[in-house]
Amino acid sequence: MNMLQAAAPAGAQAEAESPFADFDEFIRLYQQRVYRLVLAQTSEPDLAEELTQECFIRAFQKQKGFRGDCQVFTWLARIAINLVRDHFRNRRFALWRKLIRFDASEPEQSQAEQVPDPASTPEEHLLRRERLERVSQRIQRLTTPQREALLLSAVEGMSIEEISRATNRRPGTVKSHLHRAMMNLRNWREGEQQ
Amino acid sequence: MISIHLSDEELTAAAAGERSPRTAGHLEICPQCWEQMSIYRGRLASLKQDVCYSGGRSAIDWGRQSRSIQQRILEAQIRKTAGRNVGFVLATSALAVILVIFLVLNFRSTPLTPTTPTVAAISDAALISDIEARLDQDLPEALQPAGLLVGEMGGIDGQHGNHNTSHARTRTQQ
Repeated sequence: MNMLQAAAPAGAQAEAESPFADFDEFIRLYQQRVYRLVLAQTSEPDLAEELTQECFIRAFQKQKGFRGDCQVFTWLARIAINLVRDHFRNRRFALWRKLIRFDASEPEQSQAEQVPDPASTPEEHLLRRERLERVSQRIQRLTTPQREALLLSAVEGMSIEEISRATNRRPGTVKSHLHRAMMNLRNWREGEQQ
Repeated sequence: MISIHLSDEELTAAAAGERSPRTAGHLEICPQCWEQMSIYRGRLASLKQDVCYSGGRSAIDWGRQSRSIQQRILEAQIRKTAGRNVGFVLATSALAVILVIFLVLNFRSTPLTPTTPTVAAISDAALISDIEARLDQDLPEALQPAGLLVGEMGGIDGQHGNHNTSHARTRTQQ
C-alpha cells in the first residue's frame, strides 16, 4: 500500500474505478504534463515546480468534485491554469510576502532545492534553459487567453472543446484566441526573419 | 477551380485538429490551403518540441517532485485533522464560556431578599442629645409645636431618662 492510499479515507479505496484510487500513480502519470504546461506559462522552473505540487494537492482535496464528464487531464489542466492565473494576479503582493517572511531556514531550503540534477549534464541544463527562454520570448508576447489556448492545443493536443472546458471559455472564443495567437506568432516570426 | 479559400481562423482550427466537413473537404482539394495549414501545424509542433525539451527533467527529478507532492498532501491532511481538533476544542470552550455567562446572569436575575436601605447611621443617643441641646436653647415661639412633638416621643421611649427630663422641661416652658 502506498503513502496516499494509506492516508486516504476508507471510502476512497472502494472506488476502484476512480482515477484517483492510486494517487501515487496518478501523480506519476500526470506530473510531467502539468509541469510542462505550468512552466510554459510561467517560464520559471522553481515556480512551475511549486505550482505543480500545489495543483496535485488541490486535485487530491477536490477529487470528489471530478464528475467524469471530461478527461482527467482536462480537469487537472483547469486546476493548473487557475493556479497560474491566481499566481499572476497576486504577484503584485509578492514583495510584501517576501518582507513578511523572515524565516531564517528558508534560504537554506531554497538552496537545497536548487541543487542541479546529477543525471543531466551542465550543457544539457544550459540548452534547456536557452530553449525555455526562446519559448518564453514567443509566449510572453501573447495575452493570457491566447497563451492558454495555444499551449493546450500545441503542447497537450487538446481539442477546442477540451480547451474550452479547461479554460472555462466558450469554444468560439477559444477558437478566436487560438487564431490570434497563431497570427501573433507568425508576425513575430516574420519580424525576426527580417 | 477553387474560388473561396479557407480563412485563417479555419486554418488554425484545422491545424489544431478541429475540422468541420467543409474544411476537411476543402483541404482535400486545395493544395494552397493545405500548405498553409501545414505551416500552422509546423509552428504548433515546433512550439511543442521547445516546451517539451525545456520542461524535460531526469527521472531522479521527477521522483523527487513526486515524493514532495506526496509529502505535502500528507502534511495538508495532518493540518486538516489538527484544524478539526482545534475547531472542536474552540467550539467546546466557547460553549463552556457561554454556559458560565448564562449561569452567572441567571444567578443575578433571581429575586434576592430585599435589603433594608442603609441610611446614614446616626445613633439614637447622639440624635436625642442633639435635640436636647437644641431644646436647651431658648425655643422660639414658632418651634413650640416641635418641642411638643419631642416631648411626646420622649413619652414613648420612656427608658431614656434624658427624654423625660427634656419633656418635662418643655412642658415647663409651655
